[in-house]
Amino acid sequence: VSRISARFGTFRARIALAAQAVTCTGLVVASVFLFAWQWTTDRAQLLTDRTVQAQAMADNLAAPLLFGDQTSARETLEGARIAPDLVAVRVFDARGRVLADQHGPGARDLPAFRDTRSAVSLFEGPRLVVRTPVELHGQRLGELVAVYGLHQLENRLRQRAAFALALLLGVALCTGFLAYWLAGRLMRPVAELSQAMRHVRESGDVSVRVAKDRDDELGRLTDDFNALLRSLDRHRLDLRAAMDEIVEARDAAEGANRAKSEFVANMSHEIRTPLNAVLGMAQVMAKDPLEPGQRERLDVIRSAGKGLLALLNDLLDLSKIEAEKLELERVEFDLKTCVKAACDPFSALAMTRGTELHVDLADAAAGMWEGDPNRVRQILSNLVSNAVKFTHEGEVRVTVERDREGLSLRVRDTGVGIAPEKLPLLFEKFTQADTSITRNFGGTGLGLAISRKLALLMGGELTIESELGRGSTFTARLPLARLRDSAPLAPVGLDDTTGPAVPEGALRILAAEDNATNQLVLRAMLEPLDIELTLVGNGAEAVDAWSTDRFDLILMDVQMPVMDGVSASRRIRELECELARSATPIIALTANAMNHQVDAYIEAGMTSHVAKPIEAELLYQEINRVLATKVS
Amino acid sequence: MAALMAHRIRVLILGAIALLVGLGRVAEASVDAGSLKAIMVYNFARFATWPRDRFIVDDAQVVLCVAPASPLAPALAALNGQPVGARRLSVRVTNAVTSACHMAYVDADGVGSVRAIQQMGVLTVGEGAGFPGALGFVSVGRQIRFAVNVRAAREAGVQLSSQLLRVAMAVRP
Repeated sequence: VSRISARFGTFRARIALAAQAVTCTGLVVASVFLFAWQWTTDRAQLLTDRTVQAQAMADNLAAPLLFGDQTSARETLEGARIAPDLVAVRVFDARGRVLADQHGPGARDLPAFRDTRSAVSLFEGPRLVVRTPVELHGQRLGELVAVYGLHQLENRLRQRAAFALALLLGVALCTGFLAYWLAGRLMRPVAELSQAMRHVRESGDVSVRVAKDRDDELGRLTDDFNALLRSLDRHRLDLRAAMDEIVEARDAAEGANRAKSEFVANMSHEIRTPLNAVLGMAQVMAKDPLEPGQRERLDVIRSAGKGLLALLNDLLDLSKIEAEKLELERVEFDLKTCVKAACDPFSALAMTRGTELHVDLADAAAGMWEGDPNRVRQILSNLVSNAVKFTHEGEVRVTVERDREGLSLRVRDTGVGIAPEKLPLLFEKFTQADTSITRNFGGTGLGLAISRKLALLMGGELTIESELGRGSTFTARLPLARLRDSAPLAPVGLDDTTGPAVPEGALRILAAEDNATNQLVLRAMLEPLDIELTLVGNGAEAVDAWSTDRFDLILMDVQMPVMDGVSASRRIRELECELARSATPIIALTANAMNHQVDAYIEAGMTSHVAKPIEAELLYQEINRVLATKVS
Repeated sequence: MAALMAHRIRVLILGAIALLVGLGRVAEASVDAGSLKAIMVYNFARFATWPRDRFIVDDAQVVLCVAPASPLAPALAALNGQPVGARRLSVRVTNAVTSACHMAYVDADGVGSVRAIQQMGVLTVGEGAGFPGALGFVSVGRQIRFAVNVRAAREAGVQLSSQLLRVAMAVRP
């Protein structure tokens, strides 16, 4: 408030100052003219007075001059001393001799005889010199010269100037106050307007109106301001209406998007379940003795099913990323394992195409890193898949290094390359550099888009350099932290067991699985192996079955109606404690389980897990491992 | 001729003034006391005012009468025709002083008749501070000055200028 009023205060002061300047200038100019006029008048007056005085004196000097009476002449001159400004007075006879004179003790430059014929009065410098002839009946007898100083005149002028100055100051003070007060009165409407504006600015309330009490320029300003407020108000309302519409539209769009995401997720799940069944059955079938033609057809079914599953997973990932629902893990992982998992599946394919797949893992990079191993693997896997797919002959070189920012994954191929104008399209969904590629090489076109999004999600980047006909280089830079060297004792589970290991001996296994098709797959996988399989539809039934019977192992689906797998496992562990029964291993069957979810399963008492769709070999391995651990 | 005369007179007057002012030594050589007194007489006339009825016409002459035997007679005669204000001086060398005269120089021989002359309205000029007429010459050292008898002048009906009174050495009422 004070800042605004201070600003107006200065403006007000400026107006007052302007008025004051005009007033004072007028006064000063008038004073100067007055003084000039006064000075001229005073001088003229002095000249007239002193001339008359000198002439009167000259009249009285005729007799003394005629009779040569110096005494009498001197007496006459004495009379001139009445004039206080007299400097000197002299009487000359007709021949220029001084008859008598009167002057102060220090008078200098006394005037000389000039024998003037008539009275002459002249200002000479700072003095007035009056010369008049002494005559008797028209005969010139001599000359009277009187010299007067102007200091009296000057003194008077000075006094007047001092008085005028004092008056000027007084008047200036009065008019100054008056001007300031008047300026304040004039500025008041502006100040009110300003206050209203400030109110609007601070409160954002544009519904206020400023009262108008005049029809002058300020009145019009007030009108304009009110009009401005009205239009602001109108705009505000329009804007709010538009905003409401936009928010509605956005909500609707978000709702639709959510619905779409849910739909995609549901559909994926719904599609995956039968797909699992198809793949499971195909696996089981592959173990049967088949004719070569049948086996070939079965391989086609399995290959197509796996492709479909990959596409489904990519779609699910992409929809998660777009819905910003994808969560990245931060766990410790071994980079070597991760790289191997990403590259190994393609070595066979590369070989069939006559392409060499080299993997260079720098020593500085190898070791334990912190991050999401599944997503790192996914990025590298997509890049390698892409490179192998587009390279017919030559090589694909994967270089994994540690650089200043973190992890650098580079995949260089000697493939067809990409035209520069196609590069920007590369990361678009469902886009491949050439539509013919899809026909020739297959692939969904989602891999690069997902890889790039994952890299960005990790805070890194995915770049590409390419030359048509010479090959391409994809580089993913991920700002991850390397923790330490690999623990030498870390066993790599997948490598330990090679070849199909089938559980031996008569085992009693309880499997909780709500989906009928999956039940069929489990049955198909396990029953041929001399395993007594008990199938239940949910967690509660599993607990009941466990309570009334004895099993060597429990396979527990996680998502089930009535009671889910985690709750059931927890319940079973509680009952084991209460009944003092020995622990039964529980293997969780999960789709796309994340590490922290697996931790939650372990925490709930589950022993380990196998990912869906169930690979028969993996399931067998895990069953063997769990049982072996239990025995040991 | 007249112009030459006037010039001579002017020189004379100026010389007399120079003497009066005190540069007497030079003046003494050229101007004798008689001439000086004559000039003073002339000057007295210039500071005197007679009643109007003493003149026939306004521009009539101012008549100065002096006895032929008077030592001043020649010097005064020389001043004949000098201006006195708007009038001119007329010097009459005569033994008979009448009312036709406006002024008369009365030397020591005629002191007894001063009173009678005054009665006729004539301004009288004579010698000595005790001169019974209106104006009497007084010698002070080398200077020649004069005394004024106001009463005598009034008797004659002549008005003397106050300036003359101020310049006078003594004024008797």
